[in-house]
Amino acid sequence: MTSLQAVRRLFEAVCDLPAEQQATALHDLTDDPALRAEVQALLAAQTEALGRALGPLGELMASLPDTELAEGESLGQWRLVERLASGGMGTVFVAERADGLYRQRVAVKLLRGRPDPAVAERLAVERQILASLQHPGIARLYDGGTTPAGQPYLVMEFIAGQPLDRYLAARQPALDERIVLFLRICRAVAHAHRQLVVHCDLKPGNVLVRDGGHPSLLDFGIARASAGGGEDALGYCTPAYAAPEQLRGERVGVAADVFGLGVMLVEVLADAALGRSAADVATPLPAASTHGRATPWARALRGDLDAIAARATALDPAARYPTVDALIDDLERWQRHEPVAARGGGRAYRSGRWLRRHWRGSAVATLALAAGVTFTWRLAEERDRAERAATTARQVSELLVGAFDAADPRRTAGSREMSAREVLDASARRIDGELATSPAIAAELRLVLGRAYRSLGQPKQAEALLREAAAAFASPALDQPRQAASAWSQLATLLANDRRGDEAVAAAREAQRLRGPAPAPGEEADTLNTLGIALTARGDLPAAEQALRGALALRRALGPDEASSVVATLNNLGRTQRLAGDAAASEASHREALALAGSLGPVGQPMAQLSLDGIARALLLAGRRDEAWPVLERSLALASTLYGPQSNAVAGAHNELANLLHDLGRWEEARRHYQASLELEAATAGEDSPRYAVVLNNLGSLAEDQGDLGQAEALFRRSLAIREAALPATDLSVQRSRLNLVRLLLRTGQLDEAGRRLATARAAALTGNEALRAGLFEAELQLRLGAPAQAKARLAGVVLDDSPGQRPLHVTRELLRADIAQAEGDLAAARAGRERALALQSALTGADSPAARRIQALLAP
Amino acid sequence: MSEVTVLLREWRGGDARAMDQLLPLVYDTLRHMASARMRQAAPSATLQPTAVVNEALLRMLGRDADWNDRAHFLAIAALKMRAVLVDHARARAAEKRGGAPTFVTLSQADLQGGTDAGVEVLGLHLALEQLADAEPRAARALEMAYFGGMERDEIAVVLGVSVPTVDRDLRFAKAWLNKALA
Repeated sequence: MTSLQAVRRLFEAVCDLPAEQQATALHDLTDDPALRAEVQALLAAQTEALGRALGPLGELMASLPDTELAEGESLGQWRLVERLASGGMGTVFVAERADGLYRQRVAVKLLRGRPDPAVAERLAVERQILASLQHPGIARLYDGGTTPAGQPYLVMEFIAGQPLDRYLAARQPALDERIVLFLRICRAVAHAHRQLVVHCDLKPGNVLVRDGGHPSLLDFGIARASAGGGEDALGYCTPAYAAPEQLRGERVGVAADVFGLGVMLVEVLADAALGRSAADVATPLPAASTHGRATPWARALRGDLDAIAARATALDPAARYPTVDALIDDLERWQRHEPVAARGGGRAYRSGRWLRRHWRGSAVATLALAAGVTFTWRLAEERDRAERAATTARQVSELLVGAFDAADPRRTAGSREMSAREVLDASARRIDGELATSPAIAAELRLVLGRAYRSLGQPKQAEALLREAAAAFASPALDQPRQAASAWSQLATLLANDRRGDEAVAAAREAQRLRGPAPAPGEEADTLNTLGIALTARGDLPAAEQALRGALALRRALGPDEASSVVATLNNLGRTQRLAGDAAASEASHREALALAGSLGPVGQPMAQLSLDGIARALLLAGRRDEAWPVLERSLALASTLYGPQSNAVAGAHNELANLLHDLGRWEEARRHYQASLELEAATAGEDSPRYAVVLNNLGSLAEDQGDLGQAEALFRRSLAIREAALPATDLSVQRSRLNLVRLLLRTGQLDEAGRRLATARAAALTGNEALRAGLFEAELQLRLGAPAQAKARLAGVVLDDSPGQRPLHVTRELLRADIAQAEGDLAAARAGRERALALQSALTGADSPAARRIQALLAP
Repeated sequence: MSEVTVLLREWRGGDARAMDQLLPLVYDTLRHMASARMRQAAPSATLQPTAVVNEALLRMLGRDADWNDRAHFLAIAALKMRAVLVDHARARAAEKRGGAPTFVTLSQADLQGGTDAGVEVLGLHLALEQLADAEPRAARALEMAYFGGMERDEIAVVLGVSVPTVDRDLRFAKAWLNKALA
């Protein structure tokens, strides 16, 4: 090929010479005979007249069709209101019913082309089929006909939306939303295919997206119908999106639509048009990740999404997805982090997908893995032992990968998939077997696995591994105090979550000690955050809040990379504020956490779930039950998605929902959720865990409310026994549990035991509200023992304030005063006291709540 | 000053959005005028696109338009006139061949031997595109001459080059096009 520039240079050098000299001059200028020939041909061509090129222009002008209907004119029953667009296939108007019977806006499309009765007839037949396409993602075809001049037109649903490309440019949705939107488009196309209608001109301009991301496809089947009707027919297609076989004029079908969707997929993923032309018919499309290099999610396109797009846009129709449904399936597999069919799938690839699927739920766990490795690196730099640490990190990674290989479903019996738990168990076993001689790696791996178990909601295994890791790192053999501190810090959080406050505080202090007097800001923030959690578990709320505020300030100062830590601390702070009774501050902290978590993408999801949970609890504390309900449901759904149904996050969410249902008097629903929570706690935390005891206690309260005092008593006793065995006597939950049992014993007339239990509770130095509750119960005991005067005296010693946490106690006190008045024969005072109690209770839980109804029953004549 | 004149001046002043508003306006006017003229004329009459473009100029800019505005308007009109004709040629090619692809390659245009004006115009369009790859200014100059009926000094002011440069561009481009379509 000769370059056109070279040709032009020679042309200009010789074109002004006399014709007979041109050949010689050319010979002097170049040795290339092909170049000379080309210039010679150009020199000859310039002598010809221009009419050669201008003739056809005029001739073509003469055949321009007369389709120019104007606004205000009518077509059939439709009056054209506004001209929307002119282009490719014709002119589009917005139109309304001409008879004004009802106001329905439609789009009227005048198809371009010379009036042709054959085309009009074919369209009329096709219209019957097209009108039967009913799908929310497909613009309905209502009507059609021919203009007086014989031009075909179609009347379609008017879609108030933007073309796909403009919508994406304006909204800039994230990758996940793009996939959701694209899948909706695919489902509409798949629906049409099931009705045996192919589109054949899929492109962004034919997809209108409404607000909310709901697409509607235009012009289904019209490209074919308006042109030929046969299998190989093709009227209007757009080279940028047309399949190669379509450009070659071959038979087209479903595969052509798969190709069109594939081109759109690349553009949607890459956030940029490909700008293909007819000349690119044999050129493979670039990978979405390459074309979309500038997108923030370019890395996420590599691998699966590239493979899916490549399969959809294969130049050979036989190599594409055979159906749009197959394309949909693969994209849905990608959404679920399952292996996609577009990639053949070696084991490394599949276990990678497996890891993502099970550990994304615990994005925290994945982060923990990464953090474990980078932490080792950082340590290495500081201590100038880079090589050794790198080896450790690599061996840890290899060991984990080995564990996943060992858990490959194809290697184990049956096709059942291994659970995340089983994979972790396999890894944990390998520590003892293969790494007995490598204490550094074993400790590292225990720390990593401990975090993973914790994130997956398996506290028992996590605790054992973290304790072993902490001990190993602190041992003289390893002498890695900062790694040991990390393990202690993890352990403190774990213990706090298990409501073992004293142990948690001790673990947090150990982490603090190991980190020395001058820790890095990130480490200091971690220490304060953990300490805050631990102090909260111990019930030392003001100190906890102070520690958490310190952690928050440090983490905020660390910049945007630490945003997820800020979210975690905000959630912790919100929880502490709620326990201290400050519903408004708690809700504000959790809402800030939720907003920030939302900006973090998938990694923020587990924390967003905690925020939702916190918001719901704060709303409940504030008595805003109606607002809490939807938030709790969102929280449960998210927990299930994130952690899988078998996890203590889901157990906790069930318990919260049950609490709310319980308050609302929807007892059977409450019982089902309590039961679900109980089973999950048994499986994850164990039947001797304080978490399990919480749910038992709640089930006891439910039984008590339902009047089954025998069952309530049994449940309270079991709950208390677990707590007394697992927790120190001063623990808040032990105190509560004891007093719950006392309340029941009083109600069932077991006054001896009630007295003994009260004395035991008193001996354990009751704190705050529990001391007040005990005072009320002591007064009640006196009353039931037949000593209203002593009861009155005891009651006078119980001083309540207006804090939210004490509101239920006011109700109890009013009821007790009423009972005393009744025992003393002052019925009017008794009634007045119960009415006050009813008003207080109604304000707390609503007038038709079980607790309020019980008081109403007392008031009934 | 007409709306079109305002938009033209904004575009010349560097506002690309003015062009976005201008193009559809010009396209619609050209199409409408072209088909309206066809309705009036005898079925066999031929009408050069340059005549339509000049009529659009009068209608959209007025008779006493500034010479500079006029040149720039014609340049845009030439671009859109080409689009009007190419769109129409594609539609016609599709009809004629009962569902053939809506575009042709140069070789297809050659094979058809100029029997169909639509196919020939498409051939011209594609040849201009090929020329534009290597010699964009020459291709643009030719487009202005063919589809806008513009004079060499008008082309020069729009392209921002001297008149002799336009002459050389046109001379080479015409020769190249004649050879390509021969």
